[in-house]
Amino acid sequence: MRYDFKLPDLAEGMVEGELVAWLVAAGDALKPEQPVAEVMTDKATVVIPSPVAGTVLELPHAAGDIIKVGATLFTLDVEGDMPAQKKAGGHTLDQGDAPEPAAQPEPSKPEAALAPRAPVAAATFEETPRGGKALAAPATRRVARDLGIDIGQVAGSGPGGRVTIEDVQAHQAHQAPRPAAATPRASTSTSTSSPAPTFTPRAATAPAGVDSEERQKIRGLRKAIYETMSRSKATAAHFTYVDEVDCENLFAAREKLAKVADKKGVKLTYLAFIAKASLLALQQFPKANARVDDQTMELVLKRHVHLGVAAATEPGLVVPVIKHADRMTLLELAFHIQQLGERARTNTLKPDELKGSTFTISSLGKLGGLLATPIINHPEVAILGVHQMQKRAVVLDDDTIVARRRMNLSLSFDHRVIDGHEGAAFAQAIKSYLEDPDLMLLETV
Amino acid sequence: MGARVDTEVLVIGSGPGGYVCAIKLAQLGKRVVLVEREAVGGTCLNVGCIPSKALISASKLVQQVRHAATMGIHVDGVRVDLRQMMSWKDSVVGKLTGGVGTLVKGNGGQILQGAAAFVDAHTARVTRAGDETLVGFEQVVIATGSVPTAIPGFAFDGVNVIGSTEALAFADVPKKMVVIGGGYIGMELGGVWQRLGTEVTVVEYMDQLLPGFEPDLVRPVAKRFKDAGGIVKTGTKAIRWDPNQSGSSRLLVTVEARADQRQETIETDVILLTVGRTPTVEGLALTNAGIPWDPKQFLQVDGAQRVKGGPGHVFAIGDVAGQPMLAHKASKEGEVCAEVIAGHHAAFDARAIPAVVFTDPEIATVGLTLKEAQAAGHDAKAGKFPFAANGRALSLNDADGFVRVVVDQQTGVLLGMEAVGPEVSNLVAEIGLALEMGAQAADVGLTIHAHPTLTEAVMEATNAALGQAIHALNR
Repeated sequence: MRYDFKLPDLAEGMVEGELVAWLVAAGDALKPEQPVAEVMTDKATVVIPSPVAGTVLELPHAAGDIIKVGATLFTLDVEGDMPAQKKAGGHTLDQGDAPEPAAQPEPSKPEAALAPRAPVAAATFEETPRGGKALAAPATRRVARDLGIDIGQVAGSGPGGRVTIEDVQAHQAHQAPRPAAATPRASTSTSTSSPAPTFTPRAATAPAGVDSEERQKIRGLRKAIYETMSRSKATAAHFTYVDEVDCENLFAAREKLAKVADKKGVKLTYLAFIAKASLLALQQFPKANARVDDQTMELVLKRHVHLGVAAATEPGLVVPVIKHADRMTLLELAFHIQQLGERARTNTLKPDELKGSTFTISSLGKLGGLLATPIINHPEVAILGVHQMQKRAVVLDDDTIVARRRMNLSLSFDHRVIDGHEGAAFAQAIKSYLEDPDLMLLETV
Repeated sequence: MGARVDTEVLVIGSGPGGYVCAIKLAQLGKRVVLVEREAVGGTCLNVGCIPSKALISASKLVQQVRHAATMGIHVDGVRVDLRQMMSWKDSVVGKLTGGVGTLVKGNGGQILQGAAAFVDAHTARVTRAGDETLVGFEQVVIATGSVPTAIPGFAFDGVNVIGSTEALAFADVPKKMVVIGGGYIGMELGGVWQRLGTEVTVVEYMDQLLPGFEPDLVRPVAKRFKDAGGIVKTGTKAIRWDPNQSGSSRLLVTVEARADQRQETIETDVILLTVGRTPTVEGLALTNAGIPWDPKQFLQVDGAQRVKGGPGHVFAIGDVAGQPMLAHKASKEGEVCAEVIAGHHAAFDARAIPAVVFTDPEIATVGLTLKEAQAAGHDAKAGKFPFAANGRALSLNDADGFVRVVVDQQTGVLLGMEAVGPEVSNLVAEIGLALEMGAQAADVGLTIHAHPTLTEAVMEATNAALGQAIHALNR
């Protein structure tokens, strides 16, 4: 007699599943509990066994098909009559009436049993190992379980080989990409569906247990950067705007003023001009000099500008802060940029000089490239990335092509509070000051 | 016919496994029905851990008062009002069981009184005094606990041969008591009545009291028990009991030495049978739900507390799911089980389950003993520190016993602790945490422990294992 197996709800709230592969072919004789198909839900891939013995009549779906819960997954020819089975509601199945697994609640765990219940059905769920003896704190073990990692496979970096949460996370990062909550069942069936390899990669012949990797601790400054960047990316809705600035006038202005500054012992860099231009632009666009208070859902506009100037150092990126930069002359800005940059390189900055910025400029100098997508210095809402100034061929209005000094600026904004046109206008303001530095005279304090 | 209730999860049994599981399930957003056929709180709260500890405390106080002369305190005419002691004990129990009911309901769980039996894999019938309720469920947690085990020749009758429950509710202090089974229940309850004046004889089949614990841990307990007039018959089998025709006591217990089969009789007024506990599966009709079981065995579970070989939606926790039969193990399993049912990635993965025995003095262990550690392949070393060298123990006038800590010498990792002495039931928690954290012995040894406290003994034993004890000679 025919027996239609209907797709059960494998996980709570599941309405459909995608057929990954058939593990049997039409005409195959099946034993009870024999795996028939792999079905992927939004949570995991599960192996569906046949609840009964029989011969496969129909496999009506192809790999990749989406099958609704309750729809027939496959059809068997079953010897004789189906045993009468009591259902949850207490009524008895008629002969020829297939069990309806979908109507029966099943455990919500992805690796849970899939077979329609029979009074003495053998367990088909993946057994969870008991009594883990991994040398790791309970919270670490929980993280590993949540990531679907067997903590016994994680190399411990702690004393005595203790596994830390960082070790677990590093282990996950080095694993082949797989869904975080991948079910262990998936691995039991892959061998049956993939063809035997005919080419043996060299790596497979390497001695077992030798990893070709080096582990570096994420500690100290690196850890601080790790956390700040993660937080920024996790909160701010970044968008980046890139524009090109003509620097001929800027070049001329700096040539002239640098000599004067030099006599005062100050190195007048382009960065000082860019800082000044940004500070003046911020006066017109105070929203870019702000932070988001997520708790109160408020944009906190700063009446002062503490300018962060990112600096690359041996241990990593630091952002020394020029306090009240908006009250400084160009020369003063140049002086402080120089001072803080020196102290950053010699690692002599005070903690106080590394916090409180309200807007940040990041210059890659000679490595400047064409464009970048700077990550906002949390909890700020905007950041300016400065690229290398270089001579480029520029087509003028009269169609002549000339060589001119040009520079790209990449500005990232938090789109939650600054819209595209505002960001663009802010960039244009900076650009206008840099293309015509004399304009800055009008605004300079 | 009665009503029908449909729920997401049915929890059968409201002991420290079941009620914790039900509360956790409710907190995780599951609809839960908790069924109890006797008193909410199960054995632990009603007739186990809690009332026994109440009587242990009370009886120890009696003993301390009687022996306070060393400290210059002379108390004449100490009188025990057993009725009042029992009523105080009952009030302690009442506070806790009432609290459990409040917590279950306060979290949104429903308590159903009655005995549950499976109708099929997704329905149970709950019966109480002829009233029936059908409970439909998606998942079920069996948390039915255990009952005292009887042995041939000694059927429980509630009067002559009693279990722990009756031994917590005597109306009068018996003159003589025979305890069959010198495990922790027998020794705890035997100790209670000994301190209240009963002449107690413990008959133990194995060759030492408290089998399973290292002999040197048991020695201070056996010594105090004997010094107080207790009689210990180890390596001895209880054969039968008869009414006593001639002597002053009501009953005669016949025992036989295992070594030479020599029999003797012991006069007693009551026989307390504490040879073990049997999982409670009777009456559940497990086969109706497709759950394999053997009346003599625990339900076998995996790390997610699922019953092995059963339908995947059947879970078991606590005593019914295997050794060790300890309330705190049941509670942990209950939490794990609830998280699994709620779809979390939970598993029972504890490195160690502490065991505490409220004898006089107390015994506590967690993790591996030296022998177990060596058998498991560790290059293990033990460090021991006697309470006789601990200032706080001496000032408590309670300095028998010691703390022993086991360390892996290669890795420095702590492996276990055993202790006998004052308050060791509390001291064991520190090493329990250390084991779960995968701590180095040095982590404990380098931690400042307040002076003068008993906890210093844990620190010193750990340092002794590292060869660095201050207040004991490092050998």
